[in-house]
Order: sequence, then C-alpha cells, then structure tokens
Amino acid sequence: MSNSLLEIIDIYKSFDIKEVHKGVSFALSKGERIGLLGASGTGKSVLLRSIVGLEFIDQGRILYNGERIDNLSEKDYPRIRKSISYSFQSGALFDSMNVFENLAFPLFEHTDLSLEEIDAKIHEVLKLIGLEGIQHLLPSDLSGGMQKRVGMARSMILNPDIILYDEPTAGLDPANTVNVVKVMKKFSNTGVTSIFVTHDIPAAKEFCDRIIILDKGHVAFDNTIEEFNNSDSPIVRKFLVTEGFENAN
Amino acid sequence: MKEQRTQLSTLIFSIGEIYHLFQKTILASFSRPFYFKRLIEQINYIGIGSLSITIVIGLAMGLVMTINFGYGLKKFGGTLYVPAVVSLSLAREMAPLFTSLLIAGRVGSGIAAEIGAMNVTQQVDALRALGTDPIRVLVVPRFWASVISLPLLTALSCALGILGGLVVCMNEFDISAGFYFNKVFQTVKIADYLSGLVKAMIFGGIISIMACYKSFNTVGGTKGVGLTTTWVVVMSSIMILITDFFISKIFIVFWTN
Ligand SMILES: Nc1ncnc2c1ncn2[C@@H]1O[C@H](COP(=O)(O)OP(=O)(O)OP(=O)(O)O)[C@@H](O)[C@H]1O
Ligand SMILES: [Mg+2]
Repeated sequence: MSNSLLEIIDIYKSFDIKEVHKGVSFALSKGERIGLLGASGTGKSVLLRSIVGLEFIDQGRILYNGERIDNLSEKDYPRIRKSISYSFQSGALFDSMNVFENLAFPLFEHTDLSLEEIDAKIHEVLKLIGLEGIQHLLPSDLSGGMQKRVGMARSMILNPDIILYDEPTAGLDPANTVNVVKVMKKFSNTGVTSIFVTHDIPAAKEFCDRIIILDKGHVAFDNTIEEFNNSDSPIVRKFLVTEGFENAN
Repeated sequence: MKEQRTQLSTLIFSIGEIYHLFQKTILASFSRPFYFKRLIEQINYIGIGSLSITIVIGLAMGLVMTINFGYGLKKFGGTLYVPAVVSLSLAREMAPLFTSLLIAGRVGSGIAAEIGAMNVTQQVDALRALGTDPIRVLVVPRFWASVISLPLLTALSCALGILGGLVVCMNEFDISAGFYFNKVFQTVKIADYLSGLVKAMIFGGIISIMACYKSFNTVGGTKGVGLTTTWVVVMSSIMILITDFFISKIFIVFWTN
C-alpha cells in the first residue's frame, strides 16, 4: 500500500473494436504537476473521463486515497467529483446562466454558504483568474480564452484535491496561453494536484514537474521534467519533433 | 420512407431505455435534492408559455367541429344533438389529443434543442462532473412541469372549445345558450372530463421523457441536435396517438361502463 493520492492500475478500455488503453498504470502524489502527453486519439481525454466516472473502464482499478473509485454507482460519484474535478476542453459553461450563476452552481449544490459568502468567493476566484467584474456576462459574451478560464475557476471553486485539465490552452493565442498557465500555477500553489493534458510542449515545460506520455495504449514515458528535456529515448524525441510540427502549423 | 422506417425502429429499440429513464425520474422526484426554482421556471415555459397556442387550438376545435357536426346532423334533423356530441368528444378525446400534439411540437422541440445542444457541448457531462445528477437537474423539472401543465392546458382548450361550439350553435343553428349548456352538463359527466385530463397527464409525461431521453443521446454536433428535434416531435406524436387508443379502450372498459 503506497501513499499515493491517485493510482491508475493496469487499466484497459476499448470502444467496440478500438482498443484505447491496453494496461495503463501510474500514480500521483499530493501536489504533483503532471503533464499528460500523447498524439491525438491516444486516449488522454478518455483517461481523464474515466477517473471522474464519466466513462467506465473495462479492466483494472483506479484508487483515490486507497479507495476504489472506478466501479462506484452514480449515487457515490458526486462525493468523488467534489474532490477530483474535471476541467473541460471547451470550458463547458452552462450557456443559459451568466458567469456568476455558473460559478455559484457547485457552491449552491455542495455547500451551505450564504449568498454573501458565495458572492465574496466568486469575487475572489474571478480576481485569481484575472477577470474581475464579469459576473453578469453570459458565456456567449466571453472570448474562448475567457470561457476556458471561467470553466477552470468553476472546477476549482470547491477546493478539490485534484484538477484534471483537458487541453486548457488548445486554440489560444500566446498571451492567453500564458494567462491560463498562470491560473493553473496559482491553483497549484494552493496545494492542488494537477494533471495537465496538452499538445503544447512549451506550456507543459513551463507548468509540469513530471511528464507522462501515452502511446499505443501504454505509458511510454514517465519521468521528471528534467529527464524529459534531456531524454534521447526515441519516443520522446519523435514525440517532441511531431509536437513541434503541430505547434508550427 | 427509409428514413421513417429507421426512425421507427430506433423508437422500438429505445422503449426499454425510455422506460428506464422514466423510472429514474420518478425515483429522483421523491428524494433530495429538489429543484423547485427549476420546476417553476419550466411550468412557466411549458405551461404559461403554451397559453396562446392552447387558446387558438381550443377555439378552432370548437368552431370547426360544431360547424361540421351541425351541418352533418342537420340533414337528419339531429341539430339538437350537436351540443352533446361536440362537448363529449371535446372532453374525452379532442381537447387532450390536439392540445398534446401541439405541445409535443412546441415543448418537445424546445426540450430537444436545449438539452441536445447541452449534450453535444459537454454541458450535461459538466453537470455530472460537478457532482450533480442531470436527471434531477434537467429531467425532473421538465417532467413534472409537463405532467402538471398539460391537464390544465387541456381543461382550458376544452372549455374554449365548448364556448366556440356555443357561438356556432347560436349563430348558425338557432340553439339558445340555456339549451346548449343544459345539454352539455347533462351529457358530459365528471368521469368524461377526468378521463381527458388523465390522458393529458400521460401525454405530458410521454413528451417530456421522450424528449429528454433523445437529447441525452444526441451526438454529432448541430446536425445531431436537428435530428434529435425531428425525432422527438415525430416520435412523441406517434407515441401519443398509439397510447391514446389504448387509454381510450381502458377507460371505456373500466371507467365509463
Ligand atoms: N464515446 C466514444 N465512442 C467511441 N469511441 C470513442 C469515444 N470516446 C473516445 N473514443 C475513441 O477513443 C480514442 C481516444 O479518444 P480521446 O478523446 O481520449 O483522445 P485524446 O488523446 O484525448 O485525443 P485529442 O488529443 O485529440 O483530444 C479515439 O480514437 C476516439 O475515437
Ligand atoms: Mg482529448
């Protein structure tokens, strides 16, 4: 029994005949900043979705604080989802609600905070993500980068243990990418453990202290950022080069 | 034609899952947390929002049916039976059926477009990821709002239909208001009104559950949302017509002798 916060143990997952994960294992300790890399379609999103129970794995186990969380009933997931939050690629803001209501939603659901306290909390997180005074705006009034940051704020507002970021910088201009990485660092400094799925190598180098690469359904690389930078393993090199081209496009 | 057939077969294959969603909705309705504010919002949208089309359909049914029955029966000297025939068919059949079909168009498509779009933009997943149950948040309020609103709307359209009938009877067939209402109250019993209202309730349940079911299974972006909307309007209308036959049969056997 290790003292890992989250353990992914030999998981398998396929859709029809397509095998996505064929024995993926790794473990996270508290406060780590993991970069999860891999070519498109290697199952990074599926892995994150499996951790929070939006997808069910075929084989293997996922442990959170030593408790199995891959086979819970829909009734038990809310408890886990308060501690492990998933930040969607698009932000997935509720488009019929304004920013305040979006951010207040998890607080109304899971806390007994008064309206003043909720108001103060929302003010605080908006300040943290550098978007003060946008409470009354609808998601459609925000730019893509702002939507992503509000979505990230919504997924951290309950002070989770772990945040799973699904490509938070995809499709952003360099200035917005810097902003998003800043926000992730701020969250991380509060003690949150992060998994950062990305194709953006500079952003990963900036944020992560450990890199995991998924390839052909397996973990192909799992080491510190220093090892990643200096590695001459073909997977990492090939990967770096491919990603370099993707970024250049 | 081919498309129609595939639509029908998807309906048949989904009946089990639709029933499963219905069960979960009922279970979720009687345990915490409740979302009263959302229920009120939906009653406002589904009920109050459908008032104008209900008024139109109610009056139109009354006027059109009375004219047709009136001139039809006149040939046999049966004009005096018009109030009874019109009011009975309105209360038992026409008001619940036509109101529900119209609402299936208005509300079914509304639910399908809204939740379907939420599904393809991951907002439904986001609800789950934030530790809530989309069935409680999205389905339960819409289900109860429909089940509550439809009988009320049906009562309204039935009343307006009877009034429409009165207008035609007075102007075209020289039937007095006193005689008209006398006949109406003599013929149509409480059980007849109730059977119409119970039907409307069931149709309300059918519309909302089928719409939510299909929306949760929407894939393929905006095109998918369009397909879902069409499916919901067509299939819930067909389902209403099929159920109507069986409910009518059951009522006639067990309720109204
Ligand atoms: N619901 C699903 N049904 C069928 N196949 C799916 C489903 N979800 C994912 N897949 C398949 O699983 C594979 C992995 O998908 P996933 O979205 O995890 O990739 P990814 O690594 O996140 O890629 P990207 O970097 O492009 O986001 C893909 O081939 C995808 O087609
Ligand atoms: Mg992905």
